[in-house]
Formats: sequence, structure tokens, C-alpha cells
Amino acid sequence: MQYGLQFVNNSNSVVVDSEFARLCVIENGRYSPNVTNGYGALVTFARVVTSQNPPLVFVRPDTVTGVAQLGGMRVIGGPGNWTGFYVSTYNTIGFPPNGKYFVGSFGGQSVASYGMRLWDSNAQVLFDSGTVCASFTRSFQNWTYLFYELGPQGEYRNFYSVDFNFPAGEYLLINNFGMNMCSGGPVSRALYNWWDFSANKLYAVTIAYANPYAFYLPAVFAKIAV
Amino acid sequence: MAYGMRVWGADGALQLDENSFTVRVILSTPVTFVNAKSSQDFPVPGVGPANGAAIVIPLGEYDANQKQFETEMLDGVARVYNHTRGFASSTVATGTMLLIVMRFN
Repeated sequence: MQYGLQFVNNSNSVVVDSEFARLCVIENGRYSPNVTNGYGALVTFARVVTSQNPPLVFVRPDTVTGVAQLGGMRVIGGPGNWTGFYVSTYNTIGFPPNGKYFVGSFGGQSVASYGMRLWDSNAQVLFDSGTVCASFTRSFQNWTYLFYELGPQGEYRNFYSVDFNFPAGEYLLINNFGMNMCSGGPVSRALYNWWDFSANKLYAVTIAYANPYAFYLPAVFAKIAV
Repeated sequence: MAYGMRVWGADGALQLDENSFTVRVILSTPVTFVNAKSSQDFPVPGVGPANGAAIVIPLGEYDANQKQFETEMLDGVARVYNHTRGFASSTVATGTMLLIVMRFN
């Protein structure tokens, strides 16, 4: 880097600079059951995300005395105008969807009336005091297989987990918990994240009749405050 | 704090400090598979399992019948599959998704 700003942390990693786009928090708030008979949450962003590519959505369900079960995620909107997202629960018996979210994109948006704003050499906003970078906390290449259960219609529910014991303020990326996965048959593999607050265990759950044990889904966690 | 930078939000909460790590985007590109069971490699020099992640996400709304691809982060390469690797009878996914390779440090 020849000119501009570079901020290095105590571990000698670059945290912010005027060269590269980083994941910035465009907006954060709460999701709550408001559609699909109270088992779906449709969030409309107060601040539209103007990136060309879909934004990344991270969630942190409220603690319940049991298991919060989320899936069916989809981002709403189109390039330059992402307006919200939808997430739903596994079924109509469990806890309705309540929790916190944040939505991020690579690069900031010009929203602050004071503070600091950084642009790259193409005049793209990289940082803005109103859309500060998210902090990386942990990531896993894939989840570890634990066990399976048979569902009421003979479907296999496979349970996988990662090392995560619900530290305060950490959110899970959920864009990849929407579209089904390949299975071994005509019914594709549905995918959920189950937050078992009672057992202090975060599961990825796959559901299909021909449900392989093999499962390769990255898990990415981040937070929005130190 | 001996040196560095801290950022606070409008609510007074500290958002970034001298111990924070951020998420830098290395590659963001659409990936398309048409039919045959296969994989595609994307070079990402300097990124590997120890410092990055490769994910695929839908490019917005999607058809309920669409199936997602899968990724593998290798040293210097992000590999995208249109099937479940290591599972011979896996079905095959087609269509276009967005590959994002991120780096954490």
C-alpha cells in the first residue's frame, strides 16, 4: 500500500485499511415471528443494503428453555437494493423465531454525519463510522457428525456440531441455511441450525430419506461489538 | 491502550479495538454448474484452511427445487463441488451460486 490508512492490531494483522473491502455491519436489529402463522420472521431493513452481491446475514436467537430451530433463510431484494431477509423455524411445535441479527456487506455505506470514512482507489467506500467492520470470532470448514434420529415419516435427521458454547454476542452466518443440499434420492436434504440452549450445543441438522453422513458446510461466526 | 484505533457506535458501545480481527473479501464470483458431477477450482493465493473460509450462497431468491453446491478450502485454492463429495450416490446440483472466499488474518 503506497498511501492511505492502515490499522494493525496487537497480533500484527491488518484490521482496516484503505485498500481492501472488509465485512461491514450495515444494519442490526431484531427478528420476530410476523409471518407464516407466527413461525416465520420477515425482516425489512431500515437501511437498504446497496451492494451488488447479496449481503451476509448473521443471527443470534434469543435464549429459550429448549432448542431454537432455524432454517429456510432467504435474502430479499436484488443487486444494489437488498431490502430484507426471511427465516423460519423447523416446525410449528417449537419456539417461534425471536432473536438478534446483523446484516453485512463487503465495504461500507456512506451514512455517518461524523467520524471516519475511507475510500479505495476506485472511490468505493471501504469504511464508514456508521457501518463499522464486523469482528471475526471463529470459523470451521465443516461440522462434525454426532448422531441421527428417525423422524415421524421415516426420514433421517443427522446431527452435526462445532465447538461453540454460546459466548455472548457471537452470531452465526445463516445465508447457507436456506437452500437444500444434495442427498441420495429425489427428496433433497433440508438444512437447519438448532441452538440447544439447555445442552449448550449448536447443531447443524440435515433431513432427508437418503441422508449421507458426509456433510461439508462451513460455519462462520462474528460479532458487532468488542 | 498503548497505540492503535478504537471505534464506538452511536450507542456508546465499543465496536472495534486493537484486539479485533476483521473479515476481508478475497474473491467473490458467480459459479455455474450445468450437469455432470464435477468440481471447479479457484486460485486464492495466501488463503488456506488456517486463515480463511470459502462459502457459497444463493444469489438472492431461489427456487425451492434448487440444491446448493459445496466448498472445500485448500491451501491457495477454493474448490466448489456440485455434489456431496465422498458420497457416491449423491445427486447433482445445477445453476449458479455466489462463491465468497474470506480471509480472517
